[in-house]
Amino acid sequence: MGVYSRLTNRSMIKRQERKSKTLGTLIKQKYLFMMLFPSLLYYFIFRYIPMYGVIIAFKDYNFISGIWGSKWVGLKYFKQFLQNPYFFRTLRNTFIISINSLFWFFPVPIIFAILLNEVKNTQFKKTIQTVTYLPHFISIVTVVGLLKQLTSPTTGVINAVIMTLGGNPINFFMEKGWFVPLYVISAIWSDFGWGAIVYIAAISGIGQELYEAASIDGAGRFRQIWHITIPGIMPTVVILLILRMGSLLDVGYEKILLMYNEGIYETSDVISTYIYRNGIRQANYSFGTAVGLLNSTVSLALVIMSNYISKNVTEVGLW
Amino acid sequence: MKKAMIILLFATLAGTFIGCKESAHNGNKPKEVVNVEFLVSSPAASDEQFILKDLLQEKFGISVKFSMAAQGAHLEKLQLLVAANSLPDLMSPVPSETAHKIGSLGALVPYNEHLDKMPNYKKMMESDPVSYASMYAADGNIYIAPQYSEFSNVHKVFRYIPTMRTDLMESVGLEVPETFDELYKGLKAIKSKHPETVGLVNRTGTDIFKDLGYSFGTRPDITYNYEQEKYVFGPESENYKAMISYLNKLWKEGLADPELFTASTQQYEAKVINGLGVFLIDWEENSNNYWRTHDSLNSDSAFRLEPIMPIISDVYKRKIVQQMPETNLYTSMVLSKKSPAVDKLIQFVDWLYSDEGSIIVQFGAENVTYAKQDGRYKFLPNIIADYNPDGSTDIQKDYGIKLPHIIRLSKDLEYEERDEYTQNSEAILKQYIENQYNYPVNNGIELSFTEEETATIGRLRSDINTCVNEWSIEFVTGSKSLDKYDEFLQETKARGVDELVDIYNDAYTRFTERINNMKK
Amino acid sequence: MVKNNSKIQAFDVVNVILMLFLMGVALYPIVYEIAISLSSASYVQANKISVFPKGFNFDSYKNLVQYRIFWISYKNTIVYSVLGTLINLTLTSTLAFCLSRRELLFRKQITLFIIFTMFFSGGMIPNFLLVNWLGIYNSIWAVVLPGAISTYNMIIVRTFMSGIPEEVIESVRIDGGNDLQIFSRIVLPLSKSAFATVGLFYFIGHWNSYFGPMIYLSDKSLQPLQVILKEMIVDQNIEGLGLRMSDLKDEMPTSEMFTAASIVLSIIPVLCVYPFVQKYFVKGVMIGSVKG
Repeated sequence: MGVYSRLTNRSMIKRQERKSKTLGTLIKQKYLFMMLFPSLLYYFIFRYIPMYGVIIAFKDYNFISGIWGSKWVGLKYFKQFLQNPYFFRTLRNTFIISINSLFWFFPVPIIFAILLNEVKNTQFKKTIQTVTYLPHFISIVTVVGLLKQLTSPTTGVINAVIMTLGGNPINFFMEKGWFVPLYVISAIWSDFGWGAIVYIAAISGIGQELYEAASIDGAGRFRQIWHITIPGIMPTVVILLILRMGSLLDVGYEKILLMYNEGIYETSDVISTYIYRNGIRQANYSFGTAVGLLNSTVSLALVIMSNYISKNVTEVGLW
Repeated sequence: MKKAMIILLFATLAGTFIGCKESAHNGNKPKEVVNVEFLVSSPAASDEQFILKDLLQEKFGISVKFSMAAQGAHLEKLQLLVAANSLPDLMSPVPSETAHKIGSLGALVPYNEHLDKMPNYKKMMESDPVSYASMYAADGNIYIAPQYSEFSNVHKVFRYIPTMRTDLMESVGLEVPETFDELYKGLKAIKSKHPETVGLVNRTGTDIFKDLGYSFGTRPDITYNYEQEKYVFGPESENYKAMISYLNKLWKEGLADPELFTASTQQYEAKVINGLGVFLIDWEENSNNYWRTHDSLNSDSAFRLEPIMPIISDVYKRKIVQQMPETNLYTSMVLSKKSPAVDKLIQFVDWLYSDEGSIIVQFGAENVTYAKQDGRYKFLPNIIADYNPDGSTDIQKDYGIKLPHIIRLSKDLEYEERDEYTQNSEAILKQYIENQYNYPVNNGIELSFTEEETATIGRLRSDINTCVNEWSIEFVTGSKSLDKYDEFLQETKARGVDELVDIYNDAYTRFTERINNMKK
Repeated sequence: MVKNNSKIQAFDVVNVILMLFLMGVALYPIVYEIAISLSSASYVQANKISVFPKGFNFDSYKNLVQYRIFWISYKNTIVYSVLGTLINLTLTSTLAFCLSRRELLFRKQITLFIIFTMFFSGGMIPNFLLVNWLGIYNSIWAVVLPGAISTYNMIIVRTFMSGIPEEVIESVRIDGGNDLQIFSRIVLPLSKSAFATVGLFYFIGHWNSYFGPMIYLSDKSLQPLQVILKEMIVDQNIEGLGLRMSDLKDEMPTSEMFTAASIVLSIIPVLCVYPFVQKYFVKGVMIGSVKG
């Protein structure tokens, strides 16, 4: 036997070792796999099977021919989207709104949870929690309605104050520059309490003894927060941040539809609202699906990137 | 208990009907009953409470089950059901566009193949040739059963009209305006005397370009032009530019509500009720309602919000006002081709166009749900209506009657309590007729397009509308100067507007051919 | 036990003021909506309500609750929410647990398999066809199964579970326990705050759900609260006459008062549920499990 056959023998043996090792591990972890089974079945049936629907993006879908019978058109709808006169604008607006939301909105529930944690009276704390998460339940239609009333240039409180201070009334919903701030501020108002729930739960998982030990060592409030609370919730923060990167392009149309008008499309028309006008209403499923597919691909890429960066910097990652 | 009594009464009613009919023909053969599913968008009664249940069973052999799709997703649900090949037997309302689309693909019953069995439907169609011709899909079939209305009162005909605070005009010593120039002068005078008012108010966003457009002889999209007798792109004409400049003038001088394009209905209503709004275009019912509400909250009797004669523009020099079309194609009833009960449903649909059927689905039965007063139908006191404020029964939700999407022939026969507000506006509207304001603004023409044309329209129309509305708002607010109007037109050309105009005119040619063929 | 500084610091004062301000800001619109729901129509239309109701009456509520269908849908929502959340938590907790075990075979691959579904989906049509094909259309299963696991929520639970110190897990293994016992004896009890959080998310998700039930259910008697409410608050005065479907704004005009009443009616149960959940957010859930 030559060197070659010794090598192949060795790799064959290694493979067999690996296989039996795998089998052995499988048996050892049998309970885990039994627990996994129903969930994996769910994903397979309800998530993977319907995925064939992405083919609609490449076809001229019509209801009678069905998905398989419809004509294949390849990249026609992708081109239609990428070449439409408003493409660049909608993409840009989507990013601007999303990044602004990320920057301004993301930290608020975290800070709120930390500050809430510092409240000493438990009863008061619980009350604050309950009250502040209520705005989440007010429908978006009502929220926008309230916002419009507050900012009305004729009857709104905010402009009344501005005018008393000697300024000119601002027509908020007609000003291109005000759209993003209004959008983000109303989002913060609706969801800062609700968004804090996760962090409140995470903080509750931090051992009390850590705080006790720290105060024995003479650490003040802020040092305790910095060295105990924040690191304690860091894994949660990082994971949610990575996930948030994955929804960077997902600016929903519902709220914007209520807030925008053609006068401020320049800063408010996003991908989803464009699709709404062009896709859903005209039952252009192919078009909507094509754009959705593009969106998904970019989002996945963003998550992969963020996950990689995160794992190298903080060792915490989605996978 | 009461409900059971009522259903029993209806059953008896039905029984006597059938009894008379059947005894003339064969013996008493029991009719087989088929279950059918109705998908309606309006709130409907529950299946057991549906007061016409037994009647329909007796008369047509159908047992009705309502399935519902709530607001905002009626069309989505409909399309999903088509995709899954499980369309309900009957669906209403379906916009004619959608009906043509799925009908042409074979999902719906073509009514034109059953006209021999639908005498009432046929009669209604022949009474209105323009709508009749509009009902055809591009493949030559009719898939829709539209809603017809019979109006007997002027204020049902003219409903969306210019309305103004005539007391404010009086307070500055001016007559009710007849031209836009007079309107401008009026608004200006009012603003200086009453600085808290805002002038022109609106809640329809950019649809104001449509509403005002009539008076200027133009529209923001592609519409039929009477002078040129073809479809044109509105903004290309000087008339559209004139309208935009007029609005710009109002805006610049503070004579238009800063929230002209952003006001929600609630904001708009509050402005009008609280006296800030001076000039508006709205449903006559609404304006009366605002006036009434204002008076209930304030004691100053000077406030007067009433319709005025249509206003003339220099460019168009005609008094134009929207007239409610008698045929509404957009809330049509369609039948699924796959339904096992097609024949029975055809009879049912036809019955809806008969005098007797239309009364029953609109008002119910005499002394059961209504009583006649002054030749009109008045619901009994326990049923909620404008004239029965203490009623506890909802005619739609509890009995399943007066469902707008089931009613196919709407008779304007309901009793109305006219108060001083309604009478006041009616008196003004009567002058509309006397002065011949019956200009057919809504000419009732609905074009139908081939599959290829529909695809092109789908691709281009929305972007062109966006372009028009964006530029129009910017011209009005002044952020773009009107000198750039040609640039605006260039952009619409770049978006393909000429292609669309050609498509519309082709479809119109087919339409005129069809009408001419019908006349032969 | 050494107490933290029991002196009231400036920090506390500022914090409390801030909290009170935030509570006010959060509370005001709720108060406003309640006031609207209890006022009479004219005042609401004229926008004269600020904090207190005017023309006090219960009409908007009466108008909603007098219908049997309202109560039927309320019951439906409770059933869907409870059953749904139970299914959610069972599947989510077992999945999160398995994925939190670092030694799990093919852990990375399975995780990717699942995370991929957060980005790619077939869309409305194949999902609808699937529900149809499975024979669950127009049944409670169409409401609770398609959304049985939210990957986002599952990741939250996994993150919490990963935070349980290894020594604690090891102690069960040393005693001869298998994975099932690790799960039931250690991980489940220590993950209460995770379950409370995610359970709340799932429950509220079911409570507010509108689109799914509307698409997958056709019988009115099976519809949940939000669907029925939305239908009821549509302003009934719009007749079909003369209105083009394409001209209709996408939302039919709704009565502001009924909208307000429906918001209040939807919030009340949610308010009742939260206090139960709150007790799991108490500090130091892991006391005694680990020293130092």
